[in-house]
Amino acid sequence: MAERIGFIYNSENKRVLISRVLGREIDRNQINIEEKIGVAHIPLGNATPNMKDRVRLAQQFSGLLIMKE
Amino acid sequence: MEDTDLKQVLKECSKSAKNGYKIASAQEKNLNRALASAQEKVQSTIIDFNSSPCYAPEATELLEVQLVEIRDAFNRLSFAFKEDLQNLRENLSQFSITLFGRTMAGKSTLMEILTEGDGSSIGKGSQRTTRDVRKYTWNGLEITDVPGIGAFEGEDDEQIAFEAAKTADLILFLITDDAPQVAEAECFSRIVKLGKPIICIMNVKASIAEDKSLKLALRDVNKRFDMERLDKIRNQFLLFSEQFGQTWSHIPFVYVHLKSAYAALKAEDPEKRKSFHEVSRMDYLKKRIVDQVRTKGEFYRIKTFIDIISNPILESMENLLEQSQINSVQGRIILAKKRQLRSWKDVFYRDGKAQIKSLIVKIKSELNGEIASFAEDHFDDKNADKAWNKLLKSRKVEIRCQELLEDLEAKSNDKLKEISREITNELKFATSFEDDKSLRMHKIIDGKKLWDWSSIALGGGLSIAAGIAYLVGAAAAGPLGWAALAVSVIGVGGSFLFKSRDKKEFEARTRLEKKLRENVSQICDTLEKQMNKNLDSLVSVRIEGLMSEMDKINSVIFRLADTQKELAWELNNHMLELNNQIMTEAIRLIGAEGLQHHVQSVARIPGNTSLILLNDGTVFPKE
Repeated sequence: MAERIGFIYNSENKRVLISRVLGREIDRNQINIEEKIGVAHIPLGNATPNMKDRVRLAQQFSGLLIMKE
Repeated sequence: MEDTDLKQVLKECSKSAKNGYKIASAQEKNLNRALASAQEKVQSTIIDFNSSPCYAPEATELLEVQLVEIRDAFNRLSFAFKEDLQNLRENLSQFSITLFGRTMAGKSTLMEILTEGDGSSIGKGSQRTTRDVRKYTWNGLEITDVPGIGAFEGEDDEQIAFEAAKTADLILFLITDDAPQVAEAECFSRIVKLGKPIICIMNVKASIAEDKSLKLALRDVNKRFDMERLDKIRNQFLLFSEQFGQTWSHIPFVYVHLKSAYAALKAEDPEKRKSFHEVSRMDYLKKRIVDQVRTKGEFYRIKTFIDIISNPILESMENLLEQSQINSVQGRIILAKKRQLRSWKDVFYRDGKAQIKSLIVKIKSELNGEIASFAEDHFDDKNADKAWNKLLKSRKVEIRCQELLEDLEAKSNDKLKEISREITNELKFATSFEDDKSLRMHKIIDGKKLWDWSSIALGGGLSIAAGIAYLVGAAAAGPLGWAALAVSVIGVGGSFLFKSRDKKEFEARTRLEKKLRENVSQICDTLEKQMNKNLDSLVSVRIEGLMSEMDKINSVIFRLADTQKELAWELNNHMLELNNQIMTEAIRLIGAEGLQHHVQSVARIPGNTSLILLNDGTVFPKE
């Protein structure tokens, strides 16, 4: 595919799902989801390009806009 | 590489392209429906917006213009999908390779080598040569030469080049072994963003001196092929990826010497031809290209069609989400300010009424205090009314009333300006995201422009202090004249009536005092009523008018934010479908059909990463 391929397992819990996509760098407990307005806040800080890509992927799966805290 | 082999591969590629077109075309229809629905919602917002009363037409016109632009942007996006797909469709049967790179990197030389041309397209010196898109055929593959990037005032050429790159199945990006330039790295990042497969070709720039022997010429060229040096230059180029937030380490690099390859083409001596050809490493490049086509060509063709839709969908979805978020934040800021303004208004109104009352009581008290001595001096004065008016003027009753009203007006204006400034600052602070590129939408509120309209609301119209002078003057005329007149008539009688004259004087004075008190009461009541009326107007027209406008704007902003968000997630759903389809095709092409049933969903950044979502407990084969 000329692209990197990754796999993650699904979860009904959006916090868990986002955490799986973002990886261990982000503490799951610090992911704050405002379901009503469809936004998830994560402690991003100075995100690497790789992390930014993962955020974009996590948005596609979760149906939430992911923003810095 | 056997010719027949590649012919067969290209036939399969053509079939894949048709499949890719079918998939993309079906999604294009879905997308157009989604965009049409969003357009309707925005149009409905525009209609509702226009049908409600408007206190600040200049500000609301600006808002309407922005809404219309957003609606039109959705239309343009829909049109762009269609156009891009149709452009690709014209190329269904051809595997397309585009040559990219800055001017004088060697693209045209490469073209001449592949097509065994006459060299007429090669530039001499620093002038740009390829000004438009030129297509050639090599080995059944369509090769496109585009204008060089990074040239002085070459923005139009760059745009042409990028539009051509969008339809490519494979990109050959040429750089040289000079120090890498930011401009070419920037263009490279745009190509990477397109999600196209790329082979990066480093053209080693070594001149072949005509007067030197073949041996020496070859030695000079080989010297330049120091792998350590070339790898260092490659790494310098790859470092630029960090600036653009990308990863380029997976992109293959091939080092060639195009001048030798061209010299080989033109050499009449077979030995020279062979030697130059070998030193050019051209065979390695050709093999690399053909291998890509053979092993991945079918997939690349499908990918080209699907990504022509996927890429803009992803970009648009992300930008719509950001825009929606910005609009929501802006709406909440305005809502908070409106609540703040309402609270302030309640206090202002209450205090305003109290101040008016207090002033009237004071004026009444002062005027009543004047009555006794005035009556004493003027009970027999035919022009008592004029004298009373003069007294009223000297007490500056109307001026004091005007001043209070002007003071209240000024306080109100100051508050509105303060609110306006606060909103402008908070909106600017809130809008720290980048502007959308593909949809070219503007922020719904341009803080500076919109909030200047507070000066429009304040500037024209209501003069609340008008009419006070007239009313004060009118209330002072009339009955006074009669009371004074009665006193004068009594005065003519004669001295034997002296005792009764005293009594009459007393009565006349008393009557005058009564009239004056009634007059003062009337003046003060009228003044108080009029001042309160003007205060009511100030509050309802300016303050409540502004609040009503804020409500109207907020309603538009929140409706727009909702429309943008809904559209974003609908686009996302279509994109997930496309991602699934492309993954299914990839699985089929590697001969692992059936595996796609384990895949629940696929998130993708074209050309970068595909992330497969598996059901819990599924084991996906490593191979």
